[in-house]
Amino acid sequence: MAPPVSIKSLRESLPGCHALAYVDMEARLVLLSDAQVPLPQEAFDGLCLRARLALGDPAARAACDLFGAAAPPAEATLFRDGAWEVFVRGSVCPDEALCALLAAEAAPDLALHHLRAAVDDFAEDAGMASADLRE
Amino acid sequence: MNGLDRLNRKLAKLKGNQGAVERSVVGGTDGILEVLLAEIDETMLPREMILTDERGGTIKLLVASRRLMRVGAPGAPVDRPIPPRAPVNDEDDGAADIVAAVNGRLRDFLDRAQTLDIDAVRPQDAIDLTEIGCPAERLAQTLRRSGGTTPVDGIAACLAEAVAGLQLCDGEIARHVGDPDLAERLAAFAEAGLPALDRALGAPQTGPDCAILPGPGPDALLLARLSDGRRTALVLTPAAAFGRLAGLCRAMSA
Repeated sequence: MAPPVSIKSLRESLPGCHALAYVDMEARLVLLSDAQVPLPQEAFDGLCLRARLALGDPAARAACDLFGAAAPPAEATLFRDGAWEVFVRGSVCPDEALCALLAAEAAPDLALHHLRAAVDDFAEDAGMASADLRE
Repeated sequence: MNGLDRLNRKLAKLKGNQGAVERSVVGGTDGILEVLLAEIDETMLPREMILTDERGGTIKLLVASRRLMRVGAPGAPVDRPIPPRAPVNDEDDGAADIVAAVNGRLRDFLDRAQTLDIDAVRPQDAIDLTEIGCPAERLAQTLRRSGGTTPVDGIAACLAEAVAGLQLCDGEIARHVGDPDLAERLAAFAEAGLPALDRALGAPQTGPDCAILPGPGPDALLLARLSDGRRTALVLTPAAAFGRLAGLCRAMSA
């Protein structure tokens, strides 16, 4: 059965999105990726690392203390080097996240909206992809 | 209605739907503002312009006598009037409110919109003659000045948005604003969590950088860290400030 959405079609649906990756933050592994123009693996590895820094400990634990929340933030938005990076953690697999690299003029809140809706679909797809790789 | 049709056609050229995503480019918001100002400059009779985005969010502009009289709150069923002020003949103060609303709420709304519809109706209530508004020509001049060479002090603007905030210089707290309890929690976050965000941003950088983390719940506060390369603001803001923070980042890097 075809997946509900592919990483490529999701990237193409996000205005101003240069690159999109689905990563395992804990394993520091890029599971799926797509870019408008080919990017070196280091660029996706960098996205994965920054997702881990923004959404993982110790920032996550400090954010929980700040907000008095039980769960860490599910998303983060960075603006660096004149571009947006948005990260959305899955609820099915909280160690995994969608990471998007957006142009400065893009709307990061709109990207967050779309990534929130899609992230858990990728949890299942990436799981199947990992299983395929292991077989 | 001819004026409205003309405005609709202009807006469609600037921000179309679906097939025109590529036309939502840098300067799009400024272009739409120019078109709106031109239309305001041609409007003598009182009109309420209603801009609606693709998500059904709306913002209303009350226009009369070639002046923008009021900018309504996005999505609010009833416009938020500007509180009456005394003396009412102080045109500078009235205009400053309008300029701030255009640069804040209206620009924020246009930045976030992917598609726009516009409608104009005769206002239900009569214009309050004590409302001064701002002439379109003066508004255009002010926006040109503020959008030109004047550098944006994003740190001050970010702190002004804050429910609570800290200004940091060289890692030390230089001042705090807003709710003291929340500012104390921010100070704890600055020690425990901020270094990780700094690493994620590759700080220190020479240019502006920013990190935004939402709190739990749909109406929760946002945690934002904004730096201009020299100073850093660490703030808690209402969730509705997201678009304005994004606009600050763009303006600081322009």
